[in-house]
Amino acid sequence: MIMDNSSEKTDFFLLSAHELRTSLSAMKWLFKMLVDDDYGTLNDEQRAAITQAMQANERMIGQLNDTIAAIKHDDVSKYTIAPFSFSEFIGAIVKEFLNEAAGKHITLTYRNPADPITINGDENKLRMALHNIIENAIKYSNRDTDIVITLAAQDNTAVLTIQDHGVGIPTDKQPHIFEKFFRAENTAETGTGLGLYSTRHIIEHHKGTITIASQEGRGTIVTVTLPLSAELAQ
Amino acid sequence: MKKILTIEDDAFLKNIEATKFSKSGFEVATAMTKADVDHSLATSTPDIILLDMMLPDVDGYQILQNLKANDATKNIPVIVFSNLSSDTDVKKMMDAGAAAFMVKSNFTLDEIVEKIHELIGA
Repeated sequence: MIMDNSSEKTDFFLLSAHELRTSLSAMKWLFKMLVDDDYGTLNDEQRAAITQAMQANERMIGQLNDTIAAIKHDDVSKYTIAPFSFSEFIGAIVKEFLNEAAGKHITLTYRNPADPITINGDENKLRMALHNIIENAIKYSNRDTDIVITLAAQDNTAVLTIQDHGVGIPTDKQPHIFEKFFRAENTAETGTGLGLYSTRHIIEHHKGTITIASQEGRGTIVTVTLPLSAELAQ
Repeated sequence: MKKILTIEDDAFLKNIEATKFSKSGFEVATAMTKADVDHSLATSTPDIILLDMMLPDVDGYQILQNLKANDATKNIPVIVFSNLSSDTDVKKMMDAGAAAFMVKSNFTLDEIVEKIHELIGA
């Protein structure tokens, strides 16, 4: 099926998501009925296995729900804004990715600022946005390289850079990377093509910016700016 | 024994629902099309209805409207049980008289059973 129109793709995705939810619902219900012994008593090993399957099922439902939320502007626009320490927040997110990076022999380094940086924002939405950026950096990095994440304050703005040494993005594709359903062609990695689209949406909703500088074969630097807390109008 | 009518066009889901509700002590009737719904309601009156929104020959909204327009069925609580979840869908069905709107993938069937007990008692 070939679809050039982005709204057709949205409709197609939402229909597919509905079908996926149906199958995931059936799995969820059956797993729960199994652990509740509706089909007979399980032994400990069987119960542990089904519990793990339930967790995987819940993770899939969560990922699907996040993606549906990302694709629907009306859902993404529901923000809960509050001040929080952006420097600590980034540190915590980096920690979450240390194991995944180490699995690919990638060193993940966080250069945090000397003084704490506070911003106003929706932590959950920003977590989703930054997860997308760091996941991409890891996904498209070569083995035995490093990713450096740097946070600094400049002119009432928090400036976050994520620099990887991965496959990079071809010059002619760079203007399109924030478009819905964009997929890089110089990689075998899979994805929904929604990550950077929703990331930009979230950052811009916080009155911030996101830019990408990339060289194919050399790597990519993603720069996110967000107003410091006093600068973001409520 | 309280009776549930579950209106669900996906045979796989319908069978799981019927199994769980039977094991939970309910009498279960099922319908997959508008004709099934009409036949079931002509045969007996359920205590509660579980309604999917997407059916092959009619949408759940129309069924809900018909139920609420009929004196014999207007007081039967209807739980909309769907994987559609937009604010528009929820508002439309609640405004039409649904007792609850539950997204299938966000609930287990024992949570649905709890909701049914809450609405119609034990």
